[in-house]
Amino acid sequence: MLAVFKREFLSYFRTPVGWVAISILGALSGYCFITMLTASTPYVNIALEINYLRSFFIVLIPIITMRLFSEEKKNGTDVLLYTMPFSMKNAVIGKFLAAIALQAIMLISVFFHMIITVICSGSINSASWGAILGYLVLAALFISIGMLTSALTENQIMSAVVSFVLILFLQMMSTISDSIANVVTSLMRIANIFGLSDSTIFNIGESIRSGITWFDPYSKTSCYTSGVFKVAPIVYCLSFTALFMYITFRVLEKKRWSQN
Amino acid sequence: MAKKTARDHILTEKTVKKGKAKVQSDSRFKSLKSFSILSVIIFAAICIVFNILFDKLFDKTLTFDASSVQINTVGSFTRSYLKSLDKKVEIIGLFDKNDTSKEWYDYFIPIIDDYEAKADGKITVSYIDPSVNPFIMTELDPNNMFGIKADTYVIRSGDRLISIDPYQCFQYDQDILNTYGLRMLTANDVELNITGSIMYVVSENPLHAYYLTGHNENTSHSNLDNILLSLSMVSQDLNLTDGTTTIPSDCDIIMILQPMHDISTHERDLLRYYLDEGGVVLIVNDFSNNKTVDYTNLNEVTRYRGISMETGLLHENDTRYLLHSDDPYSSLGISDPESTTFKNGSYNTSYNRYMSLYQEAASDIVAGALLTTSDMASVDYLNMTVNNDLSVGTYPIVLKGVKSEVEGALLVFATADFTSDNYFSVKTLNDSNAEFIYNCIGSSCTTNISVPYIPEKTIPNYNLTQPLSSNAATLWSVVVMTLIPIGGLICGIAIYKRRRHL
Repeated sequence: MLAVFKREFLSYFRTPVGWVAISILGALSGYCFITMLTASTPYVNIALEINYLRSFFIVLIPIITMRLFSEEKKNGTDVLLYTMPFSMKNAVIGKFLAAIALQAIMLISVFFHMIITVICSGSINSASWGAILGYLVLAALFISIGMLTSALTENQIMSAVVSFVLILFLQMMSTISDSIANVVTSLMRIANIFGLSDSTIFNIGESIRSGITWFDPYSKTSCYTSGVFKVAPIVYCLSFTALFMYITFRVLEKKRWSQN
Repeated sequence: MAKKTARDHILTEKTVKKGKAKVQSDSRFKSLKSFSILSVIIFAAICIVFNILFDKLFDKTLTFDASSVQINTVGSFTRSYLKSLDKKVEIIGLFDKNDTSKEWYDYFIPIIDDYEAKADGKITVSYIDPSVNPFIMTELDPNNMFGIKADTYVIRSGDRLISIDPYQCFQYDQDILNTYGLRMLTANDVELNITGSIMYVVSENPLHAYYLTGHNENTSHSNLDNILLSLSMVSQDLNLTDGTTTIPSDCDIIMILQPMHDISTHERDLLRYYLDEGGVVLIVNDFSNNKTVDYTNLNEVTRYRGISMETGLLHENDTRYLLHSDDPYSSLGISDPESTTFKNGSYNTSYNRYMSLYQEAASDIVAGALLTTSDMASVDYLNMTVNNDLSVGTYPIVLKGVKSEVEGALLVFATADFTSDNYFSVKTLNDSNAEFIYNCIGSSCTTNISVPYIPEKTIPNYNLTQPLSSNAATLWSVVVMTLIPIGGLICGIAIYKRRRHL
């Protein structure tokens, strides 16, 4: 696992991918930071900056994860993975850890901003650290999704597009849940064959809405930015990360045994 | 080769003709595929069930407030109060819980969750967006008695409910509000409001305060409303100027805040009758704005309880009590050292109207000062020259008059610094003046204040404590916006050029 991690992590920096990702995140976070610093009443809220960066997962995660397995397949090096004297689990975990380590390194610009904040007599509080924690667990979840899409296809672009769509779906989950709940309640009101009251229809709509938004990782992890430390969102993100990693493992196992 | 032989052994070759294609089927591969699908389904199901159970069982207990002033959790008094709560209470947020655009969102949702968590099932929290479900408004308030609006919280227990406007639960940076029209939160009264509201809706005998209107009184009193709410007291306006309206029977206190003209004789009679019936009347003066007003009728009410409002401005001569060395009209008020209700501390006062004890009051009237100047104060008159007729001495700033064997009291404040939003928006409700008025009203309206004053919570301030020079701002902009991103890009290009042929 360590060997895979080392190889994968270093490969980010032996190709432009890692550097470009760091540059993009540096520019985005820098823009947010400077906007606060040069406001008419200068202030710096690192939690706000992290929240802003979370909306760019949709671009950054596919860039990082698209090559994880797709490139192996394209280059034919996937055979090495299948025949190496370790389990595929280790390969999956190693690659995942490499991607998450890159995500952590990408946050170096934010740590740099924290230092500037302290130099400029601003304050760093628990909400800032909470936001970073929320960012990393969310990144872990999305990386596992990106890794799965990478394992499903040998085309890197296709892998990036699929993970982009999946992350977009998760990002818009509250809007989607609203729309679905509204459609369902509207249909139920129009074709009210069971003679349900308005409040019952509303409750059904609310149940649908809350049922869908329960899966929304963004709203689950938003508590960290206000200084609230909850264990449940971490458990949620990590357990679903484990699920997607397991699916990736099964996909690779299937590919391994379907070799002719 | 051996491996291939083994593999061949496992393979059961079946040649299935599907048109021209030959499909080689591997029984082990098939079973592996089935196992994969089944195991993924089981894993996903376990994942979902585990998270649902974890949410239900541990979400509330495994939630910690990491903020510096415990801004997201209720304080010790509220915690113990919620434990002893014996009625069901509903807290309904009338907005979309997923809409995080409101400034107060992050300061409300966690603490409301904490109320639910600490109440052992007595409090339920729900969010209903009226734009999606408009019928909720009529369901909550069928007769439109409570003026319920969207983007508010409704607290309900049985038939009694109260509406809380979240914007009223915060202090704002007045400079930014006045200059840019932006609300920058500086302090948070959410706990004070919510706990007070819960106490009000579950109370057997809730208290009611009325603001007398019709005399251009100060209507900016949202902070005083919050203080009243923390005493389980809700407030509304009362206009007696039509000559027919009477004081409601549920009235526990009438407040007259900085009236700009005198009350009518009808109002005077009603107020005197109300005092005789055991009511509480609170009058707040504002000498800076109404120095020329003739308060004949209002003075007849105050003299009825042994207090006389005069035309004069208190001048503090003891520099130790001045708030600003160059302003003799802004000084510290001193409370009675023997008082258990008011701590002997510093209370900010400014532009205090001169008041005195009315010498011709009835013999059963007892009036006394709750707050005074130092013993070196004097009185200035309208022309701001020192009045030589009154000697240097101690002058009252807050007076209380009561009648023997009659409940209730008359409270007269020489300054608006204990009630006005102008004062509290700068000083916040953590100021000792807020606690003073809380104790003052609480001790006059109820026999026992069992509820401690819930302090305001300071919202983390992200402003830079030292101004940033334009040179420093430019330097950091260059470093952050160009050096780091361009440095990364240069590294990426260099590596690409070096390794592109590998």
